[in-house]
Amino acid sequence: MDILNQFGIKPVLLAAQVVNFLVLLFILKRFLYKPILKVLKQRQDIVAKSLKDAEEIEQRLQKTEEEREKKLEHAALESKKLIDEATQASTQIIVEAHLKASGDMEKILEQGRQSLKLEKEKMQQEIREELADLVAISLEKVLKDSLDIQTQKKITRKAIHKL
Amino acid sequence: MKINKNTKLETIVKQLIKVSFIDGKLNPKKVKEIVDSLKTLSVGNAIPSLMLYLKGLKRELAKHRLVIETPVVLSSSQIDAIVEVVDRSILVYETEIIVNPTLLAGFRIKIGDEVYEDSVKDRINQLREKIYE
Repeated sequence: MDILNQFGIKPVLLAAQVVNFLVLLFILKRFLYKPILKVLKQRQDIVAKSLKDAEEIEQRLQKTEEEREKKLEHAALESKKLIDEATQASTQIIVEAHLKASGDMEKILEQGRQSLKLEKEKMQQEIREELADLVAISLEKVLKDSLDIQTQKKITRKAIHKL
Repeated sequence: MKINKNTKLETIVKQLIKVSFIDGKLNPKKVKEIVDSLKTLSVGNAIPSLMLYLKGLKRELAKHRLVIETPVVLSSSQIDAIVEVVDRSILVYETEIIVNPTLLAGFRIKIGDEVYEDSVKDRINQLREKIYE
């Protein structure tokens, strides 16, 4: 106690200060630390949630990116397939068109040949007919001039005899 | 009824045409008799029967009408020879002679729808046909 007195410390005041300190501690704990801790906790939760959300968003983004990549790959494959098919179809069409053109050309040539043949035959027939008419007319003319009445009678008599 | 009536009439007219010819020659007396008897029928029957009879008569005469075409005038013996030959297959009621110089020589005979030709003109035509082929 003497030591306390020697240092100027009064026990009553010390006890009062201790009490005051406890009261202050209680008040601070009750009305300051708790709300602050609560706010901190809330903020911590929010941050944690934000982090979680961010992580989730990142995952989603990654997933979307993967899906996009997959879709792009699929689209590329599809387009390649379509291009291949189109190329194949166009080649086929060109080949068919070539074949058809060749066939048509052959057909046209054949028709032309037939037409020429018919035309030739028709011309030959016409020439034959004209020649026949010419021969007949010439013969008629020659015989008309050369056959005298006696010969005509003779031929007619022979014809009657043959009947 | 009308068809039956017409058919009957046609049959009768055919028989009348047949009896109008005696020994292959048209008998004018018989024809006159038939025409007179047909005239006695009612107007409705007389006109069609007379028309049928005359048409049939003409057809029958045409069937047995011999037409001889030659470029020269034929002697009666030559005509008789032709008629005799034709008469063997188709009875000749009438003969007509036509001088046709376009035949050049030979003759052409027609009886009914039948035609026989042995003329220079026909030979020329045959030659023309040969060349045509």
